[in-house]
Amino acid sequence: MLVNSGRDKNALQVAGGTQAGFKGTTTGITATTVTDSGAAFTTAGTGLKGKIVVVDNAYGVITSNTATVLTIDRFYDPTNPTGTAATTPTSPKTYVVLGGSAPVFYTAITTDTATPTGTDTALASEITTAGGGLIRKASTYAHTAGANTYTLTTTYTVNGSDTGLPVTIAKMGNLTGGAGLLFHESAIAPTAVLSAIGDQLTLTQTVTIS
Amino acid sequence: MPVVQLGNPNPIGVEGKSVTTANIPDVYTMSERLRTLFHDDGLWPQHSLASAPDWVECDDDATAEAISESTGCPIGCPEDWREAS
Repeated sequence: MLVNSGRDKNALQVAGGTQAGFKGTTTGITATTVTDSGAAFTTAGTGLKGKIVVVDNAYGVITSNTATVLTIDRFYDPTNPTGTAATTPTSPKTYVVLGGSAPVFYTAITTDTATPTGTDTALASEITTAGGGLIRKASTYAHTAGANTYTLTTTYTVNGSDTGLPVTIAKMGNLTGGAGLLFHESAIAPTAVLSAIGDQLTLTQTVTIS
Repeated sequence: MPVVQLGNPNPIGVEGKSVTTANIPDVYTMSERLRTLFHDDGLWPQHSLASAPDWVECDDDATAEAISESTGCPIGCPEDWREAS
């Protein structure tokens, strides 16, 4: 299902939200924050949540903000956004916040069996085992020219770092990225049991555009 | 990031032929790529009523060859296929 935060993001994605963006020079940067002490970032409503801030040659997805500080999920290398985090730029650097919203191409899975609801903002009990094969993963985006759907397909492979096997996967969610905003949440029926290293699970989220 | 184009002879929700394009993350192994595309729970059954694509093109030669070998479809879009679409 498209959760409420996903509906909000959908509108932002298509219409762009605040037409005017922001630009300036940072006064501080960490792995998860971009600061401009002279800025006056919009904080009304959900502020700049879901937008992209570009700093130097990397970008981050804004998860929250104050008038002067943008909190991001991480820095991405635009040439390989599904890879490891980009190097944190050193301040001062010029930055821009554009209209629109960050793409949704990550999928996470969980053993949680609670029925998805529109007010969910996170995937409860998401599998986050460090180095494991079942952690949040970039999906394959696909679209057929002229069709009113697109798909996000993810294949997980159990590896030696995964613990607690067997695990029963009951739910999936599509998110923007590392500390991503939840967009879709769906129960997996029937549930999928992964028991051993090398076991694979493929999940496809089909989204109807109109 | 391999970009795969598949000649779709019987696309879902589209009249005539069409092209299905898939953008596969680099981190996917070849096994994961093929499974993502053509497993029963993969993307192809959500895009096509045909059992396999008519052809494949990909900017990664190894992926194109693996898809061709797995599905039996040729690499490269035939000239007359474009005319028929």
